[in-house]
Amino acid sequence: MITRRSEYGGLRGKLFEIDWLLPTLIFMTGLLGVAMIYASTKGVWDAGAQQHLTRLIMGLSLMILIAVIDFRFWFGMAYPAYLASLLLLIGVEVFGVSVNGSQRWLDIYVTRIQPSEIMKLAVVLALARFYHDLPDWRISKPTGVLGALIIIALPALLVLRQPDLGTTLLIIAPGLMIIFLAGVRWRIIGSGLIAAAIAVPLFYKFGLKDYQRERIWTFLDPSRDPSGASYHITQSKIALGSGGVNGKGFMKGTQANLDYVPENRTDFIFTVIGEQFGLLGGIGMMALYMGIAAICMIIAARMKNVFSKLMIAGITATFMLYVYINLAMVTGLAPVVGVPLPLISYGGTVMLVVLAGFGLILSAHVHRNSDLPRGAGLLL
Amino acid sequence: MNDSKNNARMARGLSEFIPARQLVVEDLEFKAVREGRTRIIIGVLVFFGVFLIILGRLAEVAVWHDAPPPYDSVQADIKTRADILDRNGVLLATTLETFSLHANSKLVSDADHTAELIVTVLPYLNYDKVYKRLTSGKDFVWIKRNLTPKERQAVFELGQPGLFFRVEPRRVYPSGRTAAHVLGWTDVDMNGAAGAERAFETELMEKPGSPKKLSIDIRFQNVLTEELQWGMGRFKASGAAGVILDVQSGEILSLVSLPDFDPNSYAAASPQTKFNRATMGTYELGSTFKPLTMALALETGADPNTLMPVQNPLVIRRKSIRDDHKSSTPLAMFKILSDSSNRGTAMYALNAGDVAQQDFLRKFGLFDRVPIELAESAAPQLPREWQDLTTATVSFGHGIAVSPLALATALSALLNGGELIVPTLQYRSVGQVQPRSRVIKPETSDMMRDMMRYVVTDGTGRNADVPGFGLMGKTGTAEKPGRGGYQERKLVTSFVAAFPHSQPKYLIFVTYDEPKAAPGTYGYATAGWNAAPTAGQVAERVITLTGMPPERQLAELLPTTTGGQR
Repeated sequence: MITRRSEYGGLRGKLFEIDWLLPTLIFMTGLLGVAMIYASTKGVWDAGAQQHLTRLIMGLSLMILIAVIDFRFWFGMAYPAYLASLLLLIGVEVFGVSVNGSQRWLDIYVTRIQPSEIMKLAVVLALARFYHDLPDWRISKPTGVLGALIIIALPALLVLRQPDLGTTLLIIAPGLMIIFLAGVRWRIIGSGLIAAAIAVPLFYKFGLKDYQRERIWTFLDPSRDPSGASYHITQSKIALGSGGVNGKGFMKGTQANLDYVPENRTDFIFTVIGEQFGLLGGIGMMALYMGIAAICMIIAARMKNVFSKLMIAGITATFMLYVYINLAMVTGLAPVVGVPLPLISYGGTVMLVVLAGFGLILSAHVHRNSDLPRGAGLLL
Repeated sequence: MNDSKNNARMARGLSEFIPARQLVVEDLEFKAVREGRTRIIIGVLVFFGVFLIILGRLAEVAVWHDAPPPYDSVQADIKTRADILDRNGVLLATTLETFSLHANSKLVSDADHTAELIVTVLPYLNYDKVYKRLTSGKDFVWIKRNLTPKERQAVFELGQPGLFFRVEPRRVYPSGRTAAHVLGWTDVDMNGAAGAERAFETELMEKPGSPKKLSIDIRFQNVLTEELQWGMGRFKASGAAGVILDVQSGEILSLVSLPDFDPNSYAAASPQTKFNRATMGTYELGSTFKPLTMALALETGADPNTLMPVQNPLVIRRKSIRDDHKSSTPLAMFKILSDSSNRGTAMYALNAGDVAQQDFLRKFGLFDRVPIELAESAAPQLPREWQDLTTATVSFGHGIAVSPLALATALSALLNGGELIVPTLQYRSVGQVQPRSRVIKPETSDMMRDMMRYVVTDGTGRNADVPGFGLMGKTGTAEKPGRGGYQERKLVTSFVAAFPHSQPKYLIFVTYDEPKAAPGTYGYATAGWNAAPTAGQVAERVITLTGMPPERQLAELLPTTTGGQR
């Protein structure tokens, strides 16, 4: 048997066990966000930058709190969290508040929350738990594949109804990634891909709203509507292009800063970075994100149980997909689907969910030597 | 452990000798581990691949993408009028090629049908008017000028005879309303009609290839517009104006008048919105005038430490001069300015005498229209006769109406070391000779800087302060003259702010027309509660944009050393 430390030295020991490089990188990325929001509001401190900093600090505290709570608790919470999120999503459907024409907010008394954001974490947890409990020989059996697909499909369909294409993508893609990592046979994956190739055109025809189809078309051909839907992309490309390699310097941007780029504080914040710090700034930001992902994957590789491995991989995948989809969107590589740049874009729920996710990763790392029972009941 | 056993087993090919049941389990677990690792590596590779794609795309957009450059997006051959740029090279006005639709009514076969079709593709046109023109019998009638390419195509596709297009250049202002009054507009035939378009008409027409650089910084312009707009909404003011001046060079960095208009559709704008309040509007600006009187007193030998008996009533020609902040004790000059005492200011002016006062104000250019390039620069409204009551009221900014830009220019001279600058809308490169003339002694200017700093630290201008930058300022709340005297409810409030204290560079002048009390102003509508915080906000954002380092707050120590009393 492997020798195992019998006790963590209380809270202090747990704090010591945290891989502090990860919170440091996260904090740096968050501060970049504060500076960019500050620049995008032309130097008004309390028009977003201050709130962002507050949320960052609150989120980091939450992250540390989650990290020191016994991982077995989170393990046990996998299904309950999933079910609760599912109920919240149904709640949005019934009682939700409409913002910007999409019904995705739930007004609880303290604050407005977006259950679809919480769902991104919950799906990962539920799937990781699902494969953790499943005996290996069943992974590629109908239970293993269909069960996982149902776990993904339920929330995905609810979110798609809101409608929120970006979040749907962020639920489905990491979910599929977990199925892949769990070890489903290549044959099944191959037939899945073929089925998708047939299903996507059908989905385009029947599953999308007119405006979603319109977005895809304007993306493919921006000249379709120079003042309308593609305005975002055209303006953001102008801003990025005007930044060049070195950028114009902090607070010196004119395109993104002067409100030519819409939503420059939230989804299009990268235009502010690109205009002011140029390509080099963009690469620096990407390096921060890659550093965060690399640390997480190294932690995942050290994990000895299926749940932790899949959970960490899933959360990391979600995080990086945020980044990728956002950058692809801003640079005109993908249609505008409304995905923020995590830790940098202005927005509360995303920040909290992303940091909670990192909290779970850290918790798995801190408690890496505790035993997680396999094949136990639904609620542990 | 498993690994070596497994390899050995396979190498020997002895699988059939080993108990099958146990081995299958071992084998599967090992396979799962190995397969799991492979998959993680594949996953990571896929993610890294996407990373490279995104990185490539970033490079493409940032470097090789043919994003339109800041200007020069229009072919030179149709350029008949030079572009206008801001001081950093941002495009403010350019010329685009558009199509104008005209008709030869003799060639129109079915006027009724043609008019109907035109109205369907250009729905903003009136059918009757179009029909009338098509049946006018003339060879050439305009239907609609400056069509967009889309509209042109739509009309073209109608395929009706008798309709023609003429390529016409059109002036376009990418910044929209933001610098409307500075830029002005051109008429349909591309002649400058107002603003810079009119002021620099010859230059723009003679050298169409070389863009004209203005002194305006569009970022400051945007900040000033935003803050004034916000304030106008909050204080329900009927109008607002603002100026940001470089007090050393005289360059106008920003000039705003609200309500504003969109120069791209100037024809639709009302005359009120086109009126430039900052240069064309003249107002009795009130106490923002007082620093001039203080400088006058200092120049004519008054001792700033002498206490003036402001507690006693001051009655001139049966008019009593009132003070808002009544003092029960005599005050010295610093305190008179910071409490904005009308009596004290009037006493200084009366001591200096009306001749000296008039000479002084004339020297500051307040008796003439501001010599700025814009045609929209109004001459001041001066008192018809000048006697002792006039001297008293003018000393605190009543009875004389000047444009906000005129007062801003005069106040700049108080703070920049004592030289009057010539305000300009043209960009002045570093090292260019600046026309300026000395109007007060450098020592007087130093004293004025301290005195106006004191107003912000200890007086009516507290709401404007930006910690660390030694903001100097002065409030002004004036009642608007109306029928039968001044109207207590209708105010013009203003605030002048300048910074940094050690060597002033920027001067911000903001004014509101008829602001009201708002939540949080405790029922006050005076300048300290609206114009001052707005100027402070603008100053703060300008500081951020310029990246100016904070300075030590010397001014906090000054009142005690220079004799101001607390």
